[in-house]
Amino acid sequence: MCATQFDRDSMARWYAGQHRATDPGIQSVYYLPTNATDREIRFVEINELISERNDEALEPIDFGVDTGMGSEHKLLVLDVTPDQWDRINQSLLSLPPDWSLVDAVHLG
Amino acid sequence: MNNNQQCWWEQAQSDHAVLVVLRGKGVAPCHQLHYLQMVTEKLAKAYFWRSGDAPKKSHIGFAPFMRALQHVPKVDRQRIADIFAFQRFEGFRSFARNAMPLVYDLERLAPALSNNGPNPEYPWPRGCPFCKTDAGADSRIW
Repeated sequence: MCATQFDRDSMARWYAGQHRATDPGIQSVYYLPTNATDREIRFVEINELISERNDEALEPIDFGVDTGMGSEHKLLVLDVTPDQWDRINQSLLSLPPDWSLVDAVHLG
Repeated sequence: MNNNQQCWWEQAQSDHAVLVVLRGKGVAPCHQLHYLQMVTEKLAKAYFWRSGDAPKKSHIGFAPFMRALQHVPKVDRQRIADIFAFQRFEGFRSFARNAMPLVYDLERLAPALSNNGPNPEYPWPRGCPFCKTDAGADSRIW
């Protein structure tokens, strides 16, 4: 397999625009590069249409893109409600293990 | 499609077959919606197994699946449009975006996601079984 050049930051910006354009529930997208591998894009998406759950740990969805190809990468999306986002910022709710808001980028 | 996806796909088809039977017999909407929710959840599980890792255990999946369908690679776009009976992919994408609120309502039919609202297994608000009729009438998807 040939290792295709992968520009993680550019791809993150592109995905963020796509997600906001395709889901009216998404208010904001935050890109969390800290601790992610070179081929892993981590998003927290603040979504006003999802159901709030208080009894389970936050877990991202793996959109696994281009599996088995040179451009293979992971797109991990954690959808949270606006209230959950507030609690994350107040350290009252934990992000998934190894996820961090350090150097988080607001992509719209 | 890998073997894990195949399992979920076949189970989704099996659930759909039951849904068709229920619709044909005109059973109560709650039971039809129960199966419709399960079909959509299993379709999503089948899709997300594409990464090779198990999807998250929760019932959340149909909304991310419908979102993912809207940005498939160019090579797959016409195929997706054809499946949904659209001439052009842009038509499907516009439809899917407008359908997202209903998609979330459908996802929320799973009892674990309905919080205190009605769901197909217990079609009334948790604190007020007697409110069944009003809850049903108020629900967009009911």
